[in-house]
Amino acid sequence: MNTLAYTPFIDALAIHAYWYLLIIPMSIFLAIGYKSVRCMDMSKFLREVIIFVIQILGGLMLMAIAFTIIIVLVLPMLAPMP
Amino acid sequence: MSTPTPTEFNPLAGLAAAIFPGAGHLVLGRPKRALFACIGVMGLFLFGLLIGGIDAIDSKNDKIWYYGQLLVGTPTIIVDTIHQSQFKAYDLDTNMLRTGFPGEHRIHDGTRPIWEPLTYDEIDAGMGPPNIPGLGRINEIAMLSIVLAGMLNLIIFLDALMPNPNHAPKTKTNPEPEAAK
Repeated sequence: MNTLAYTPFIDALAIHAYWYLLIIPMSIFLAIGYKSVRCMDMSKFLREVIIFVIQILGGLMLMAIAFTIIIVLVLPMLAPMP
Repeated sequence: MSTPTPTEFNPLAGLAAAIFPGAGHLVLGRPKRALFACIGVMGLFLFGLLIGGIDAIDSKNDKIWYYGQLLVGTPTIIVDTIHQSQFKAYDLDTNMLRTGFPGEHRIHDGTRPIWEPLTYDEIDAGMGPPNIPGLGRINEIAMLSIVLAGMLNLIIFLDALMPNPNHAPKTKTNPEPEAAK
Protein backbone atom coordinates (compact mmCIF):
# COMPACT_ATOMS: atom_id res chain seq x y z
CA MET A 1 0.00 0.00 0.00
CA ASN A 2 1.21 3.48 -0.83
CA THR A 3 0.04 6.59 0.95
CA LEU A 4 -0.01 10.08 -0.51
CA ALA A 5 2.43 11.63 2.02
CA TYR A 6 5.31 13.61 0.51
CA THR A 7 8.51 11.59 0.07
CA PRO A 8 11.67 13.59 -0.77
CA PHE A 9 13.33 12.67 -4.09
CA ILE A 10 10.30 10.51 -5.03
CA ASP A 11 7.42 13.02 -5.13
CA ALA A 12 7.47 16.44 -6.77
CA LEU A 13 7.44 19.52 -4.54
CA ALA A 14 4.36 21.74 -4.78
CA ILE A 15 6.23 25.04 -5.04
CA HIS A 16 4.62 26.41 -8.19
CA ALA A 17 4.32 29.93 -6.72
CA TYR A 18 8.08 30.21 -6.13
CA TRP A 19 9.44 28.63 -9.32
CA TYR A 20 11.60 31.68 -10.15
CA LEU A 21 13.54 31.33 -6.87
CA LEU A 22 14.80 27.90 -7.95
CA ILE A 23 17.39 29.64 -10.17
CA ILE A 24 19.36 30.66 -7.04
CA PRO A 25 20.44 27.17 -5.83
CA MET A 26 20.83 26.05 -9.46
CA SER A 27 23.22 28.91 -10.24
CA ILE A 28 25.21 28.24 -7.04
CA PHE A 29 25.72 24.55 -7.90
CA LEU A 30 26.51 25.45 -11.51
CA ALA A 31 29.13 27.99 -10.41
CA ILE A 32 30.75 25.53 -7.96
CA GLY A 33 31.00 22.81 -10.63
CA TYR A 34 32.19 25.13 -13.41
CA LYS A 35 34.79 26.91 -11.31
CA SER A 36 36.12 23.55 -10.04
CA VAL A 37 37.69 23.07 -13.48
CA ARG A 38 38.06 26.65 -14.69
CA CYS A 39 39.52 28.32 -11.59
CA MET A 40 43.28 28.82 -12.09
CA ASP A 41 44.11 29.42 -8.42
CA MET A 42 42.02 27.39 -5.97
CA SER A 43 42.76 29.86 -3.17
CA LYS A 44 40.48 32.28 -5.06
CA PHE A 45 37.77 29.64 -5.62
CA LEU A 46 35.11 31.08 -3.30
CA ARG A 47 35.56 34.59 -4.68
CA GLU A 48 35.25 33.37 -8.28
CA VAL A 49 32.15 31.29 -7.44
CA ILE A 50 30.44 34.31 -5.84
CA ILE A 51 31.28 36.54 -8.83
CA PHE A 52 29.97 33.89 -11.26
CA VAL A 53 26.70 33.49 -9.32
CA ILE A 54 26.21 37.28 -9.36
CA GLN A 55 26.94 37.33 -13.12
CA ILE A 56 24.36 34.57 -13.80
CA LEU A 57 21.64 36.13 -11.63
CA GLY A 58 22.42 39.67 -12.83
CA GLY A 59 22.34 38.59 -16.49
CA LEU A 60 19.00 36.82 -16.03
CA MET A 61 17.54 39.84 -14.22
CA LEU A 62 18.64 42.16 -17.03
CA MET A 63 17.09 39.81 -19.59
CA ALA A 64 13.86 39.71 -17.56
CA ILE A 65 13.77 43.53 -17.45
CA ALA A 66 14.48 43.78 -21.19
CA PHE A 67 11.76 41.27 -22.13
CA THR A 68 9.27 42.97 -19.77
CA ILE A 69 9.94 46.32 -21.46
CA ILE A 70 9.50 44.74 -24.92
CA ILE A 71 6.28 42.91 -24.03
CA VAL A 72 4.65 45.58 -21.86
CA LEU A 73 5.78 48.78 -23.65
CA VAL A 74 7.29 48.17 -27.10
CA LEU A 75 4.95 45.52 -28.52
CA PRO A 76 1.71 47.42 -27.63
CA MET A 77 3.15 50.47 -29.43
CA LEU A 78 4.10 48.48 -32.55
CA ALA A 79 0.92 46.42 -32.70
CA PRO A 80 -1.81 48.11 -30.64
CA MET A 81 -4.77 45.94 -29.69
CA PRO A 82 -8.14 47.28 -30.87
CA MET B 1 48.58 35.83 -29.93
CA SER B 2 49.01 33.53 -26.91
CA THR B 3 50.34 29.99 -27.30
CA PRO B 4 47.84 27.20 -26.57
CA THR B 5 48.05 25.67 -23.09
CA PRO B 6 49.71 22.23 -23.18
CA THR B 7 47.45 19.33 -22.20
CA GLU B 8 48.01 15.69 -21.33
CA PHE B 9 45.76 12.80 -22.33
CA ASN B 10 44.58 10.60 -19.49
CA PRO B 11 42.07 7.90 -20.56
CA LEU B 12 41.89 6.40 -17.04
CA ALA B 13 40.82 9.73 -15.58
CA GLY B 14 38.33 10.13 -18.44
CA LEU B 15 36.84 6.71 -17.72
CA ALA B 16 36.57 7.50 -13.99
CA ALA B 17 34.93 10.86 -14.80
CA ALA B 18 32.41 9.12 -17.07
CA ILE B 19 31.45 6.70 -14.30
CA PHE B 20 30.96 9.21 -11.48
CA PRO B 21 31.19 13.03 -11.40
CA GLY B 22 34.51 14.19 -9.92
CA ALA B 23 36.14 10.74 -9.94
CA GLY B 24 38.35 11.74 -12.88
CA HIS B 25 39.98 14.56 -10.96
CA LEU B 26 40.47 12.22 -8.01
CA VAL B 27 42.43 9.90 -10.33
CA LEU B 28 44.47 12.92 -11.47
CA GLY B 29 45.41 13.63 -7.82
CA ARG B 30 43.34 16.82 -7.63
CA PRO B 31 41.05 16.01 -4.69
CA LYS B 32 39.89 19.59 -4.09
CA ARG B 33 38.75 20.03 -7.67
CA ALA B 34 37.18 16.54 -7.56
CA LEU B 35 35.18 17.44 -4.45
CA PHE B 36 33.86 20.71 -5.90
CA ALA B 37 33.09 19.08 -9.27
CA CYS B 38 31.13 16.38 -7.45
CA ILE B 39 29.28 18.98 -5.32
CA GLY B 40 28.37 20.99 -8.43
CA VAL B 41 27.14 18.10 -10.58
CA MET B 42 25.51 16.01 -7.85
CA GLY B 43 24.04 19.15 -6.27
CA LEU B 44 22.24 20.02 -9.53
CA PHE B 45 21.26 16.36 -9.99
CA LEU B 46 19.83 15.93 -6.47
CA PHE B 47 18.20 19.37 -6.56
CA GLY B 48 16.36 18.33 -9.73
CA LEU B 49 15.22 15.11 -8.07
CA LEU B 50 14.21 16.99 -4.91
CA ILE B 51 11.89 19.40 -6.70
CA GLY B 52 10.64 17.15 -9.52
CA GLY B 53 10.72 13.77 -7.81
CA ILE B 54 11.84 10.56 -9.47
CA ASP B 55 9.64 11.42 -12.47
CA ALA B 56 12.22 14.07 -13.50
CA ILE B 57 14.26 11.24 -15.07
CA ASP B 58 12.24 9.20 -17.53
CA SER B 59 13.91 7.44 -20.47
CA LYS B 60 10.55 6.44 -21.97
CA ASN B 61 8.35 9.55 -21.75
CA ASP B 62 11.00 12.31 -21.78
CA LYS B 63 13.49 10.71 -24.14
CA ILE B 64 15.25 13.86 -25.44
CA TRP B 65 15.68 15.28 -21.92
CA TYR B 66 17.02 11.87 -20.87
CA TYR B 67 19.83 12.02 -23.44
CA GLY B 68 21.08 15.23 -21.80
CA GLN B 69 20.60 13.80 -18.32
CA LEU B 70 22.58 10.71 -19.32
CA LEU B 71 25.73 12.89 -19.40
CA VAL B 72 25.72 12.74 -15.57
CA GLY B 73 26.68 9.06 -15.89
CA THR B 74 25.72 6.15 -13.65
CA PRO B 75 23.49 8.14 -11.23
CA THR B 76 21.03 8.86 -14.08
CA ILE B 77 21.01 5.23 -15.25
CA ILE B 78 20.41 3.95 -11.69
CA VAL B 79 17.56 6.41 -10.98
CA ASP B 80 15.90 5.71 -14.35
CA THR B 81 16.13 1.94 -13.83
CA ILE B 82 14.49 2.28 -10.41
CA HIS B 83 11.84 4.62 -11.85
CA GLN B 84 10.92 2.28 -14.71
CA SER B 85 10.95 -0.91 -12.62
CA GLN B 86 9.58 0.18 -9.24
CA PHE B 87 7.28 3.15 -9.94
CA LYS B 88 5.65 2.44 -13.30
CA ALA B 89 3.10 -0.22 -14.19
CA TYR B 90 1.05 -1.35 -17.17
CA ASP B 91 -2.23 0.27 -18.14
CA LEU B 92 -4.68 -2.59 -18.76
CA ASP B 93 -6.53 -0.63 -21.48
CA THR B 94 -3.57 0.50 -23.58
CA ASN B 95 -1.08 -2.18 -22.44
CA MET B 96 1.54 0.56 -22.03
CA LEU B 97 3.95 1.19 -19.15
CA ARG B 98 3.09 4.51 -17.50
CA THR B 99 3.13 6.57 -14.30
CA GLY B 100 0.13 6.14 -12.01
CA PHE B 101 -2.79 8.57 -11.80
CA PRO B 102 -4.36 9.70 -8.53
CA GLY B 103 -6.97 7.10 -7.64
CA GLU B 104 -4.86 4.14 -8.73
CA HIS B 105 -2.42 1.88 -6.98
CA ARG B 106 0.31 -0.39 -8.23
CA ILE B 107 -0.19 -4.14 -7.84
CA HIS B 108 1.45 -7.22 -9.32
CA ASP B 109 -0.84 -9.60 -11.21
CA GLY B 110 1.69 -12.43 -11.15
CA THR B 111 3.38 -11.63 -14.46
CA ARG B 112 3.80 -7.83 -14.43
CA PRO B 113 2.92 -4.71 -12.42
CA ILE B 114 -0.45 -3.14 -13.31
CA TRP B 115 -2.51 -0.12 -12.23
CA GLU B 116 -5.68 -0.95 -10.35
CA PRO B 117 -8.38 1.66 -9.63
CA LEU B 118 -8.97 2.44 -5.96
CA THR B 119 -12.30 2.70 -4.20
CA TYR B 120 -13.34 6.01 -2.59
CA ASP B 121 -12.71 4.51 0.85
CA GLU B 122 -9.16 3.55 -0.15
CA ILE B 123 -8.52 7.02 -1.59
CA ASP B 124 -9.85 8.59 1.63
CA ALA B 125 -7.50 6.31 3.56
CA GLY B 126 -4.59 7.96 1.69
CA MET B 127 -3.80 5.24 -0.82
CA GLY B 128 -2.49 6.17 -4.24
CA PRO B 129 0.31 5.65 -6.75
CA PRO B 130 3.89 5.22 -5.41
CA ASN B 131 4.97 8.70 -6.58
CA ILE B 132 3.44 12.08 -7.38
CA PRO B 133 4.86 13.33 -10.71
CA GLY B 134 5.83 16.97 -11.20
CA LEU B 135 3.68 19.12 -13.45
CA GLY B 136 4.20 22.29 -15.47
CA ARG B 137 7.13 24.55 -14.66
CA ILE B 138 8.30 22.50 -11.68
CA ASN B 139 8.70 19.42 -13.87
CA GLU B 140 10.50 21.45 -16.55
CA ILE B 141 12.88 23.10 -14.05
CA ALA B 142 13.61 19.73 -12.41
CA MET B 143 14.46 18.13 -15.76
CA LEU B 144 16.48 21.20 -16.77
CA SER B 145 18.47 21.06 -13.52
CA ILE B 146 19.49 17.46 -14.23
CA VAL B 147 20.33 18.26 -17.88
CA LEU B 148 22.47 21.18 -16.62
CA ALA B 149 24.21 18.69 -14.32
CA GLY B 150 24.88 16.52 -17.38
CA MET B 151 26.27 19.39 -19.46
CA LEU B 152 28.44 20.51 -16.56
CA ASN B 153 29.69 16.95 -16.16
CA LEU B 154 30.65 16.92 -19.86
CA ILE B 155 32.95 19.92 -19.24
CA ILE B 156 34.39 18.20 -16.15
CA PHE B 157 34.82 14.93 -18.09
CA LEU B 158 36.75 16.70 -20.88
CA ASP B 159 38.92 18.46 -18.29
CA ALA B 160 39.72 15.09 -16.68
CA LEU B 161 40.39 13.41 -20.05
CA MET B 162 42.68 16.22 -21.25
CA PRO B 163 43.78 17.88 -18.00
CA ASN B 164 45.33 21.30 -17.94
CA PRO B 165 48.76 21.07 -16.22
CA ASN B 166 48.25 24.61 -14.93
CA HIS B 167 45.48 23.27 -12.69
CA ALA B 168 47.70 20.72 -10.90
CA PRO B 169 47.82 21.26 -7.12
CA LYS B 170 50.89 23.01 -5.70
CA THR B 171 53.44 20.66 -4.11
CA LYS B 172 56.71 21.18 -2.25
CA THR B 173 58.73 19.95 -5.24
CA ASN B 174 56.59 21.94 -7.65
CA PRO B 175 55.49 25.04 -5.73
CA GLU B 176 54.14 26.81 -8.82
CA PRO B 177 52.58 24.39 -11.32
CA GLU B 178 51.38 27.30 -13.47
CA ALA B 179 53.37 26.41 -16.60
CA ALA B 180 52.42 29.63 -18.35
CA LYS B 181 53.67 31.94 -15.57
